[in-house]
Amino acid sequence: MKAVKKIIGIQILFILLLFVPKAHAQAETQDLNSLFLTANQNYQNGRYQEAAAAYATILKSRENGYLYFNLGNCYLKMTRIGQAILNYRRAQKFIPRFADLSMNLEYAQQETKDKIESKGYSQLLQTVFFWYYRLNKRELIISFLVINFLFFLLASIKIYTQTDAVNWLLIVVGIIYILSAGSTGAKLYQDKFTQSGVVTEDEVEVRSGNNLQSVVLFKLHAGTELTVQEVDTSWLKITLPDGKIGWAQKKGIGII
Amino acid sequence: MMLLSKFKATILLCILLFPLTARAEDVSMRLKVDKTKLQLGDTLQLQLTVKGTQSAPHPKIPKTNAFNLQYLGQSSQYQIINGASSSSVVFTYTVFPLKEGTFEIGPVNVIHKGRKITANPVTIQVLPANAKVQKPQEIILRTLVSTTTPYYNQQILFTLQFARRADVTNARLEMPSFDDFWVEDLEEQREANRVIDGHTYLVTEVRKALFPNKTGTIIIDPAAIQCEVFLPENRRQSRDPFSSFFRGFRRRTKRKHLQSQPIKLQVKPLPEKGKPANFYPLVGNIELTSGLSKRKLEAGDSTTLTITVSGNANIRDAGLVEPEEIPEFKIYDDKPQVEIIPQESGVLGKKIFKKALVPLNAGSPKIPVYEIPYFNPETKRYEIAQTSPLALTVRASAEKEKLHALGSSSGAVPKKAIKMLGKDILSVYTHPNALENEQFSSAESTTYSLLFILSPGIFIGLLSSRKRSQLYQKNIAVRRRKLALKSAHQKIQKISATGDTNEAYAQTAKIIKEYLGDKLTLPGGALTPQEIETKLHAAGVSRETIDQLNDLMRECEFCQFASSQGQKDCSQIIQQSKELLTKLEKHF
Repeated sequence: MKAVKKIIGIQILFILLLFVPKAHAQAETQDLNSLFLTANQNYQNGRYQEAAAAYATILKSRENGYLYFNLGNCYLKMTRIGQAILNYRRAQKFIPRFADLSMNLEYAQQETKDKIESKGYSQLLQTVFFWYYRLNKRELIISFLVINFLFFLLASIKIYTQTDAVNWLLIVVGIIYILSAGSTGAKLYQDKFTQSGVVTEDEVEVRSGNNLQSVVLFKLHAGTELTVQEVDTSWLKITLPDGKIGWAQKKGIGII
Repeated sequence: MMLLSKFKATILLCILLFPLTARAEDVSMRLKVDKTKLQLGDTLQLQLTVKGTQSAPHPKIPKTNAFNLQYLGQSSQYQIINGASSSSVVFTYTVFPLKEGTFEIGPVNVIHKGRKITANPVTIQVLPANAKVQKPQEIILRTLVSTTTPYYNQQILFTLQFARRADVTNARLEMPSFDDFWVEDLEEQREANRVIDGHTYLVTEVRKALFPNKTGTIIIDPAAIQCEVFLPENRRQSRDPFSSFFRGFRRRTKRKHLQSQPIKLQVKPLPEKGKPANFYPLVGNIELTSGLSKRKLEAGDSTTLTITVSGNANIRDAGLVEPEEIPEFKIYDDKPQVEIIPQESGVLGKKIFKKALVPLNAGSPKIPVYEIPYFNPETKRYEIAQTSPLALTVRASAEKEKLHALGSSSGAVPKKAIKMLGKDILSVYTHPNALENEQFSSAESTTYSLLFILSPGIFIGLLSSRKRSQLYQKNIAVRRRKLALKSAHQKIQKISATGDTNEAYAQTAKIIKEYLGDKLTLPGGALTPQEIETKLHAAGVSRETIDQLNDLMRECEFCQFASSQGQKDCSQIIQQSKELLTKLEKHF
């Protein structure tokens, strides 16, 4: 039992490490703070282009969901729907539960021209696996690590004491562990291997091949969301939620 | 009995003949020519079909000085399909034009059973004898639009015609892309015989209603078709009767690729003059109708107000102009329904708005007038379609009367749904935590990875330790074997700490014996050198190691009581015994 106590101690120490605030260079933070304040001021005064440039500069050194949200707002005010949706989607990776973001994204999506019928089960998936959509990558990983710790802690206790309570608790935590592991794995896989994109130009031609001589299959308009299947030098092979496939030039599509 | 069967037969005959007699009165007549354009000196064939009777008198085609007619004969037909009968007589003539120009043949009138039946005239054009009459083509692809100068969002009827006089197979049609239009399909496709440039073709039509969504010049790209056309038969090729039998299986085809002409449209913007405020570009002829599900009800009950916007316009996004506040009612809007009805001249759009009205008080409240502004391209003006005013009779509800009788009143302010007054996005996020870097650092990734493997790692360690201790508890021999070296080392370490050489000689032999006893699962102290040698030999220990062991044991026994001169240093003995133990461990 002494050994178990020691082990728990080490693990708790590691978990505390997760919440240690990240250290930043003081001077850099000062500069970024003033740039952030200027950007906010520009936005309030209707100078959206300047505000967007400032937010984009901050994003080069600090990746943050709220900055993407603010940048998306600037683009939406400039009626650049594609760029707005692209930045809102990027923001969603970090702050999926931010209500303002959902509202503004919905607003931007209403302004898009293309109507694409999706397969229709995404809403159901979002309801059943709500935690997958409501938590960002970091939150999912930390939750998984906590559940991982709890599961192996219970499993370690079970080695020494075989009570019904421990057994039942282990089954419950085990089920949560499997779900959490699956969700975290899926999120990491999606992050690493799946690329989604948004049409950022007013109109993008989608062709049957990755050259300008290929037949134009259909045209997409700013704000339409798609999945990137393959990347060529200056072309992307894309898929739409309704199953349409084709090649589009890279310059007209922003990768989320 | 005989009488009864005769009666039945009469009834049956009457039933069978009834449709025949009923339709006998439905008589019509039609004139048809095989071409409408010909050269002087050429002839055309004229057919006059009388449908619905076989007893029509021979019709007389009015003669003029423009042509001569030669009667070729008549044929009649009678059919019963699914109980419905039809009969017709066809009179065929050859027409010889006498001079150039455009003439009408007909109308033709016949009196049948006291009723006058008329066939509409046909127009033919007679060209000079040497004029070039466009030769009939095998296939034609052309596109037509109802107007080339529409207003923004005005309905245009686009028709694609694929006309053919030859048999065609494997046709693949490519429609133009209507990028600058909202498109409504009329029907899949339809087929009919039509006259094009004076020749009759079998025409397949694809029609679409287009609504231009930008102003200025719009080009509708050409449509294209690829198909295989069956070549005409060369009948003189063979007189073999079997060749005609197999002809159908090996008819030769020719690949053809056709393209229609592009169509240039000049889309006019809607005039600014007289444009109503918040005008949705509804262009066409619009009607607004309204109706109520019930006109008499109690306060608190609901009635459904149905408002239908219909017209030849793009009504999908059309919205009603809501009247000002209506304090007499609570109004609940339902999701509007859209119907698109294909018609000959295009599509008729219908958008049905349904509102549940709940009158709050007894009385005769009036339902206000709903409006929808639209632009009428015929009058070239903005017009407003309105619903007609409707009235309701509302009785006081039984529930409310009861409350009045009790003299109680809640006094609560009536609640209203929040009305959205504007549309905008929510503002930027200004809290400084927007500057926190949310990107994964390598240190963070390493910590997560370590934490991930730490828990199961520790668990596996604990589990194996637990299993080992359980095994040792169950099997002493195994425990002795596994822990022999560790125990021997511990004991040697103790002697080393004392630094006493005599003690080292005394204990080393004992420790080695105990070690061997543990390894061989025997009482260590009782082992004789002979037994040790035999057992080690059996365990596969090399001769050299056995000799080393014997030497060390002998040295220990001899030196522990000898004078200090012949003795080695304590650390040497310990080193020697450690090396020996390591060698022996390799064999167990």
